[in-house]
Amino acid sequence: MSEKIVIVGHPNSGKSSLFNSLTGLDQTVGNWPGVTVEKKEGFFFIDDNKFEVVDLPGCYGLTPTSIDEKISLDYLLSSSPSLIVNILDGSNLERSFFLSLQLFFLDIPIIFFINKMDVAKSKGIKIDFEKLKGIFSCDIVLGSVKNGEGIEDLKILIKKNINKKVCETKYFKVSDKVYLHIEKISELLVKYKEFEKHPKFYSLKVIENDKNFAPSIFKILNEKDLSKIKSIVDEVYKDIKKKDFLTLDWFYSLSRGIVGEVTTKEFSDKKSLTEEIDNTLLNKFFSIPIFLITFLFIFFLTFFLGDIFSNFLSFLFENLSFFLTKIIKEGFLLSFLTEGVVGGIGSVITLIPYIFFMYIFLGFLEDTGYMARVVFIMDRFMHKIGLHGKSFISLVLGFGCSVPAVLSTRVLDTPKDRIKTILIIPFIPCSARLTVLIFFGAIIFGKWSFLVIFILFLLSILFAIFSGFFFDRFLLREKSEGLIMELPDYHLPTLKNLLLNSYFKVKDFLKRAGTLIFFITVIIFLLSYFPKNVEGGFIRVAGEKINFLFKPLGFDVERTVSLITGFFAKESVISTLGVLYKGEQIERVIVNRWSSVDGFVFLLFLMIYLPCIATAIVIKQETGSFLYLFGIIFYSILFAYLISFLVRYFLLLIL
Amino acid sequence: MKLIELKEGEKAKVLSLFGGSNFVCKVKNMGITEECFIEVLKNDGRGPLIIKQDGSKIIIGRMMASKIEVERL
Repeated sequence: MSEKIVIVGHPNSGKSSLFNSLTGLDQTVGNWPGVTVEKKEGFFFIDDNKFEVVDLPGCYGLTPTSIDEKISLDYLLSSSPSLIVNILDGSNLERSFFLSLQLFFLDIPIIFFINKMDVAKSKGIKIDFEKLKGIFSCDIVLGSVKNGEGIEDLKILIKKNINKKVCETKYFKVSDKVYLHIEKISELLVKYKEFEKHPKFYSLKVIENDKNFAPSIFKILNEKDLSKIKSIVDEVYKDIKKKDFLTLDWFYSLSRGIVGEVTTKEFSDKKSLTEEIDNTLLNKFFSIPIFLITFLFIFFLTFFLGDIFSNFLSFLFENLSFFLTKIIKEGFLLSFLTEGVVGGIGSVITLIPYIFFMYIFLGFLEDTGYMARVVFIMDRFMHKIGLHGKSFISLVLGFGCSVPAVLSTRVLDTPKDRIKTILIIPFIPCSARLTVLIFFGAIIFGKWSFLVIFILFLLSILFAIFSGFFFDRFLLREKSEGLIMELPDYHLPTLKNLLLNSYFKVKDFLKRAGTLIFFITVIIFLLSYFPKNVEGGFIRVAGEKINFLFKPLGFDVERTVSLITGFFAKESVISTLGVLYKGEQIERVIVNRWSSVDGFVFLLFLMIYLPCIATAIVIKQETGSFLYLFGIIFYSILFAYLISFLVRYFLLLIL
Repeated sequence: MKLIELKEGEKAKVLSLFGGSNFVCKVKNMGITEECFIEVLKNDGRGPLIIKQDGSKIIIGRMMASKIEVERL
């Protein structure tokens, strides 16, 4: 049997890097039950012992203020891991101890891995290891994940500590007033089945009067214990007037005390490198131009590099079809393999290079620390649509794929902020929609395609902003609570981490979208192939029935059908049209049959109408309501229709 | 005075936090507790502020910063 350990740390402590260096490729990215927050699990071996490891979402403390933090806490309380590996930031110990001290209350064995010792050294921070050992009785490793220091020591200690009894800190054993009261309460709580595993933690929550815990704890207690506990709590607050989250102040003052005791810092008046860089990057006047140039450059690089690999992959698939035609000659099997299988899988696989590079570059911005600056820069613009800077990151991710973008809203603090952001994301042109744009744009507009694609791209961003205003005004008027987040120091990301993260994102995408798009293409193929006596098959008949709806927009039957399959995955618009314009080259049909106005309106409609089904599923999961899902579906179709209609007649008038 | 009124480079002591329990909890989780010392690194008069507290830098929106009462040092 393998042992389960968890990695716990605050955001920016290097948690994921530690996880990656312990597990390498032996990890899976799944979802936490009930919510679609990324759950990273993996395993590694020490000698012959297998250890399972879970990377919990970053948390500052055990009083959750975001879904991320709530998940971490729930997991710690419910899954009883054998060991907590608490990763601390050696260059920012005040913040790290704040979490560590709270973790001791869970009564789960713990070891410290103090990371970023290289950064601490460069900041002139010295840690007195012996003194530290004197305060915390758990095992402690000093190291740096980035340089691979301390990882082997950590592994040895993991093996030694697993199943060890709980360790406590000397700090708490010193007669601290608050702590003594917590112990008194936990002596009462431990008798109850519900609290026996983590009595001190629940006592802490009682003193804190945490609304997520205290009322339900009081409900379970019998009257005698309840009154005892209430009198203990009253005693704690006897000489203090402010009551809000007293324990958080307590933890911070303990933490500052410990830092003062165990570290020395050389005083320096010099500005740190991070501050020097921020002087330029966050300058009042230059910050926005620098931000725009950075992002344009990233999009350019993504599509430049993506094109090279994507074209190569398309070339391979064309040859595969050609090869199949040669050996099979004709019949159902040939059509099925070339149009259904190769066409379907091909359209997904040729998209992978774009997604891969997009995540590499976005990961680079994230890991260097620039993304946090983007939050700072965009905050005041986001306020105009009732959101704040953190939402902007999710919107940027939407350029890659809406699904991870919707998932990323979990770091937002209030449900209103999340819902508003989630509802805007479907209108950010994702890479799937861009591929469709690029594909048709090149056919219809030839050398002007770049300009047309750019206009369509801008139009859909404008519509996303308009939607933001719209939702803010008419739907969710409540003002966002505002922004507060840590600004990490700049540092160079490692290639290994970038590659690993991007690799798992692509793998996830393939699993999610790949199977779906493949099935749709096969089904569309079958529907268009059968019944054999009807030209264009069943789907054409169905398309003819509803085509009158789209006549005002100038769509033919094939385009109407492709809009339906586009709901399942936007890329499948291309493969559907490929299947439906049977026997002929899709490029030739389009050039002959579509006028440029037709093409433009069709693409415009495609950009706005309907989130794809994968996005629809996560919207439902994350907002927890069909109301928002159907609302956004209705809203997007309505506006796609209206805008396309108006643009079409405007263009027909002036051209 | 309010945190939002501090200029770049000024140091202050946090006196109290005015707001709902969610706000107070969030701010305290970031290390801004009553009685702690902070330094304003950036305040452009618009957009969020950047403050320094112990070893960490924190971005804080103007709305939140206006709910934090401080005493200039």
